[in-house]
Amino acid sequence: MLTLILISLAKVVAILLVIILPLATLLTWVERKQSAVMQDRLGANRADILGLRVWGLFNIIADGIKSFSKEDWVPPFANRFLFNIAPFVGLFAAMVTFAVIPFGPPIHIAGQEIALQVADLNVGFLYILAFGSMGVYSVVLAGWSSNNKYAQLGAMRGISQMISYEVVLGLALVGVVLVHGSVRLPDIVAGQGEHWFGWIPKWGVFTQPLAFLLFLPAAIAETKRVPFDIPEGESEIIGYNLEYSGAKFALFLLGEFIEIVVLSALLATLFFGGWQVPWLADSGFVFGNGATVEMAPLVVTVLRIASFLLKVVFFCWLQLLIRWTLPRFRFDHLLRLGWREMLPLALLNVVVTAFVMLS
Amino acid sequence: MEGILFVLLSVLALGGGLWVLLRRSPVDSALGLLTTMVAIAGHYMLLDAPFLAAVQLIVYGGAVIILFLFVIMLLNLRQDRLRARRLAAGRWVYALAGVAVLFCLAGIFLAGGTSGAVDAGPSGTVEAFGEALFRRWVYPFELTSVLLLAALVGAVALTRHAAPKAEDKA
Amino acid sequence: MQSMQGMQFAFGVVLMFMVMGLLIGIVALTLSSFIRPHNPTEQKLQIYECGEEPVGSPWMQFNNRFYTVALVFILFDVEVVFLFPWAVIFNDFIKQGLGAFIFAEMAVFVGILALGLVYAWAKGDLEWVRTRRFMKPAAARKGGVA
Repeated sequence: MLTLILISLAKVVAILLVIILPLATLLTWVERKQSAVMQDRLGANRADILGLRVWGLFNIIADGIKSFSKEDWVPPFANRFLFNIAPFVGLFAAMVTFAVIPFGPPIHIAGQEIALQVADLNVGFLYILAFGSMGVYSVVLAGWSSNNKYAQLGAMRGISQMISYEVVLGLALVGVVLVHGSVRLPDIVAGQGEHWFGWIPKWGVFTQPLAFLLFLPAAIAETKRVPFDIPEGESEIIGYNLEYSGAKFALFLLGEFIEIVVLSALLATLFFGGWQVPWLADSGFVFGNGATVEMAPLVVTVLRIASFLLKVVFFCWLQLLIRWTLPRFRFDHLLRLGWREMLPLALLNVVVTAFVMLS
Repeated sequence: MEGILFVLLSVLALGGGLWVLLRRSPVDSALGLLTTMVAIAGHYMLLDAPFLAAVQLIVYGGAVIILFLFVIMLLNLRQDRLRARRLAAGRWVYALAGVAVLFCLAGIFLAGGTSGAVDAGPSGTVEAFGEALFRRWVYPFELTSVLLLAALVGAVALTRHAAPKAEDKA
Repeated sequence: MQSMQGMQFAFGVVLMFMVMGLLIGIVALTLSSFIRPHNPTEQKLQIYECGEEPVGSPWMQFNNRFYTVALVFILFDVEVVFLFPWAVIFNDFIKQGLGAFIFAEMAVFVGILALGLVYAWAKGDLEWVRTRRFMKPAAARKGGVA
């Protein structure tokens, strides 16, 4: 029992301090650098240590020091308690969703099977939906407690947007559950290890293409980033977090970047096979024409974990690319897209999937 | 461990309930209710009903209370405006209703109505829930949809006729 | 399928994860409180309205269509929650030859709820800009939603 607890603790620490936080902080730099590349600028490259610049990587440290040494200003007209907890709620909701995502196949050490996943809850990604929906409170509380017109308007827009797209998100996932008959993420990943004709992997993006196309924009809407950044609209209409400064504002941003990582992990897990590598079975590569390549179990495991991380990094990059490519939706377009276009399509996807399975 | 969690969650649930009653600001009350709902989700977890726990969070935490907060923000319910009307003429009716509910609950409890509810075996998973819902409780399930539809149509119709003049302000 | 104890252990691990997640934020803010300045001035203490003098109270009336959206959302949220157990056992029912039965069950449920969407849609409640409807109700009724 004690070893079990220690292993779990190690996994918790590893996920938080090795995957989520480094990736999220690295993303702050990647985002600036990527925008620079796309806009033909040199970008974040000023910070140096003893003349050493390393493509501006030190900007991460500089940003951190800057935001945490700034004055933490709580407006006197704000509801102090709610104002202070709002950024934590966002960070918390984003972070805890990672607990059920499997980042590798179960490994065997000293006769014990260790799942590379913090906790295998049998409600699976319903847990993610549950805590994802808690993220709305960060917007509600920040907007309401700030006692500011802009913040309140931003919060109203934010809540409307997040709840509208939450429905589409849920319905898109129903299609995935139909295919795999389980809400547990390890089951879904295992199901995606099979192949059609020995060649095409049964990844979610092939079994549920429409669900993927609906899930991606809906999930980006949940992260409140461009093109769905109407709750925040940093460049002109501003939003729910405008009275925040210093470390608390940084927590909002950190929460947002963690959401990007979590969303990438979810996309990889649900639609791109999770830790599966195409044609890689437990014993090594098995191709459709019968050719095989034997591999040691350790190599297979390492390859699989690497493939998961690679997919996560890819989807992080894709989201940044989207953010710097598209303009913002107008609010009426946003609701129209959610309720009148994506929702009927999502319902249709569920019905068609069920019908195909039936026949 | 389980005992500690039970006590902790119960204190949270009851504290949330008291918070709802005692706070003047409606937003504070709504957040108290949220605390109660989340604590009850924790209780479901302890009772080995993870699906119910998730549903509790998704529906009550993520939707119903958000709707309450929405209404509070929309109607501009500020505490100084509410103070005047707080517990006005109908206070005895409220008190009576509260006592009546208490009696009902006590009656159920004394009649042993809850004794069989807890040890129903491993029934809290999504699969078990689906089996029960779609085999045994099909008709209530379908009727639920009618109920929901009626609620939606009624509420939407009421909003539409309530304040057509307040349009386009936001 | 996990044992009951396994479930509660997983729950405990998730709790641990949550506590650690909260600690990260708290530690960060506490550390920052040692180094950050505290220097409120009169200008800083004003409500931020892009440099303008704040006018009126931050409390205002909001568009009630926000409320309609929230209402429709609750309906579909409940529907999605019911769809998950249905999707999980769908395959089992097909294997038992009850596929058509469970498909019809959900088709009726979704169909009835979709009526709600159709109602809100047809009446223009999902339309953000609907001033035209109030100006020319007859035209809007004839030509559908504008």
